[in-house]
Amino acid sequence: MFFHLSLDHEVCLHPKYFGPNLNETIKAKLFNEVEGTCTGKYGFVIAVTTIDTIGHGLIQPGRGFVIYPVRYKAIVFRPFKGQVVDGVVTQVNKVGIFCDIGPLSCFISRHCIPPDMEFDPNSEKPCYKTNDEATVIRNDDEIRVKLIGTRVDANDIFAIGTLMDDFLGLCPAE
Amino acid sequence: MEVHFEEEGECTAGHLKAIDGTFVLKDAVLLEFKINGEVVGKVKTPCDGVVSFGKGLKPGVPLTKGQVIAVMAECRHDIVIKDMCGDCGKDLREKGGRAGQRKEQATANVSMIHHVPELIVSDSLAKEIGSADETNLITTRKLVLLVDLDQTIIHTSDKPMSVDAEKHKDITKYNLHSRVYTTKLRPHTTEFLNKMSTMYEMHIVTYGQRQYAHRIAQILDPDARLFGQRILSRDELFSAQHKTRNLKALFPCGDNLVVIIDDRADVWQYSEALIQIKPYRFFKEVGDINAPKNSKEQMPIQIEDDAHEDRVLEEIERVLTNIHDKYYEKHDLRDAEQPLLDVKEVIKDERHKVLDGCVIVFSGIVPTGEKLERTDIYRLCMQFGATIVPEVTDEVTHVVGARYGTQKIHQAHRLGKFVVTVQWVYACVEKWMKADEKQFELTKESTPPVGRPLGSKYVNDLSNMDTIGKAALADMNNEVDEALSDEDEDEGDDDDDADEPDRQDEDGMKQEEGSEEKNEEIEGKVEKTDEKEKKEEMKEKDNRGQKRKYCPEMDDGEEESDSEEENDEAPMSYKALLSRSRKEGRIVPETDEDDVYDVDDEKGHVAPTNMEDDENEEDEDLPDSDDDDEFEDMAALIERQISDAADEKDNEMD
Repeated sequence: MFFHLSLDHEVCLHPKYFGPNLNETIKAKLFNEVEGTCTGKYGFVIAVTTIDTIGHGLIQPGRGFVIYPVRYKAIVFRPFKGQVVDGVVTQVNKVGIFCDIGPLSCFISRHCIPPDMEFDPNSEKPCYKTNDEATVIRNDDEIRVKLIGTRVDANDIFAIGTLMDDFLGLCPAE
Repeated sequence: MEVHFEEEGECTAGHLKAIDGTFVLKDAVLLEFKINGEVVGKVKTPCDGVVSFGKGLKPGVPLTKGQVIAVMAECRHDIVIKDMCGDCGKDLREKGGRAGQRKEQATANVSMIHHVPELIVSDSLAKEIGSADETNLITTRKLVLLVDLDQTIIHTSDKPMSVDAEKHKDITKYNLHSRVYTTKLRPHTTEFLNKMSTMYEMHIVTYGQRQYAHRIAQILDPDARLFGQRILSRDELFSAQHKTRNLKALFPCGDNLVVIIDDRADVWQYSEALIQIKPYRFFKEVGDINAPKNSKEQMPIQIEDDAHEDRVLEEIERVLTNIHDKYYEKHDLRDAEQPLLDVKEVIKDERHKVLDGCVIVFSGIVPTGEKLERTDIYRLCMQFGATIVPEVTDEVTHVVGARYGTQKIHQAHRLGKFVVTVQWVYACVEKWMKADEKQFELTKESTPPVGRPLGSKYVNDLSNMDTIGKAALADMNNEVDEALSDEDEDEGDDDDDADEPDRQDEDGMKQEEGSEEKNEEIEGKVEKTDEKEKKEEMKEKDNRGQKRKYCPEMDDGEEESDSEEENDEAPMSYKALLSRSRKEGRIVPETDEDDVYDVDDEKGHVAPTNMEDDENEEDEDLPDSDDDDEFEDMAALIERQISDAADEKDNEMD
């Protein structure tokens, strides 16, 4: 799920940046440091929307670096168990399918793929397909997945998904 | 937990919506039921779990109220990724625990997918998938081919170099880990891989890192048609020394269909399925940049002259095609019920045919003190179907000699047998065909093997190292002996240059004594020897070093004395010898060893290039104490070489 959150971050700046563009530098550094990162608590930081406050800088004793506390708002993506999401297949093998849901990697085991779809190792690209080849899931296809588990680490999230429910599986091509 | 049928009336079962034995989520549909052919309702599960349907339940069967439709059981966690069950999504890791710390026992422990080691499946599922793979291979009439990268089908250098891109179109430069790598494909690689992909399911198994392996795969196979995702790299290998242990995981049903090509036999623990390939070297001074840690890869100085005309892959293509054809030929003759034929048997048979009927005697090949049965050359000959006997008899067909003039070789000539160099064996092994003996005939002019032919890595390197040590050792001994005997005579009658050569020849026979005691002896006595004798010694020493150098693989004492009479090369200094043997790629001393030689050189009395002309003046300038230092240096060097060699041998045996 996506959230719009107010978050804090500390930007550490070298004294050489102290000058007329100080604020711009802090902003640039903030974007650089938080966008695309992942925290277990809030999920993936997708984009910073606004910067609310840039606090008073604190000079680090003995180093000369300055730390600015920054409060900003950002769109975050936090996957939850039971959520239904769309992903792109990145890899198909005999044990299951790997797909990417934006920054999130997800694995779908062969037991969670509808029983009428079988793994075909002999086609040009390995794929799961029904006997009549009406549905074929291979690399770069879009699939709809229901997440059944998430592994939340300090700075990464990994998900397990299933295709065994109504309206899940290959998204019809537009 | 049981799921009962709750509906009243004349119902029949429709489609089963779940597979027997798989995990379903709560509220998932298990079964549709029909009244008069119309689907009127569904049976859902009240909880998560693994379904096992009631007996006899299939579409069309009448259903009664209260009937057990299915039993729901706990998930067995057959597929686990990052400590999460792939079927039910349950987190199996202890709260706050590290990777691998599971609070619940899972059956999964086999890593089946090459490049996703964290994805593991249970034994039973692995067997199931493995047998499906096997069936698939048999029906598509393929075998499995595990392909090594470095020095087998490519050669990579991590040193910056300029290559003529026009001249070598198959050279690729790329950045990896912020270094520039240059990779050259072995001649014929693309054709080889394309041809093999029709007969084999190919896997890459390499000691390179994951990114490197995938980068190379991209070069070899841009469309991922040949290898697909079947790339196993250092990051996924279980062992740092062997590749064999991963076979069990990749092929849970056994390696009956697996053929391997690699330039090293040790990493596969000399598996029968291995077809060893002569290492491919293209770039100067670069060995295998991804060699397993424990082995000291020795860097050659020269590139193989025939790097451009390397035809090994064409030979291997023929061999592999032959194995594939033979395998399926035999397979077709078998009953369907019989267990799968082991491709190792086919390989063994084919290998045996190569030197079948050859009875071989080695002369001067196996270093003294080395057990014949433990040498690579013996192993190779046996693998390829030859019989090895110790003495030349009537049954013998080939005598493989290191140098001309040993007793065995004379005998063989008398009996009219083939007398060939050791390269003949390697040629046969490389081509899997009996090579023409004429090309490899051992004559007086034959030189010892140059470079490192297939499979002989350790034998050659080690024996060369030994020889240098031994030669130097022998020289040291001789000098000591001479010094001693001269001194004795000096006490009696003043000097007698005339009979000195004879004495020295006798001394030449004495060899192999601890360098330490020798050192002690020297300290006391050398100072007394007079200058003339020293000159003689040094000339002699150079001579002898030379002779030893030319027969790198000593066999036994008798042959050594033979060679000394035969060899009439000009004297040569240690320095020259060293540089020569380096050029031939036979020894590569450590840098500090180099220094030792340089020091000697500066002093100017171990390695003057031409002793005869200016020896008198030179020697007069020398203080005696320098001699002591020199001897000590030499002794230390020799000791180090011997212990190095022993270490390496030990490593190899491990």
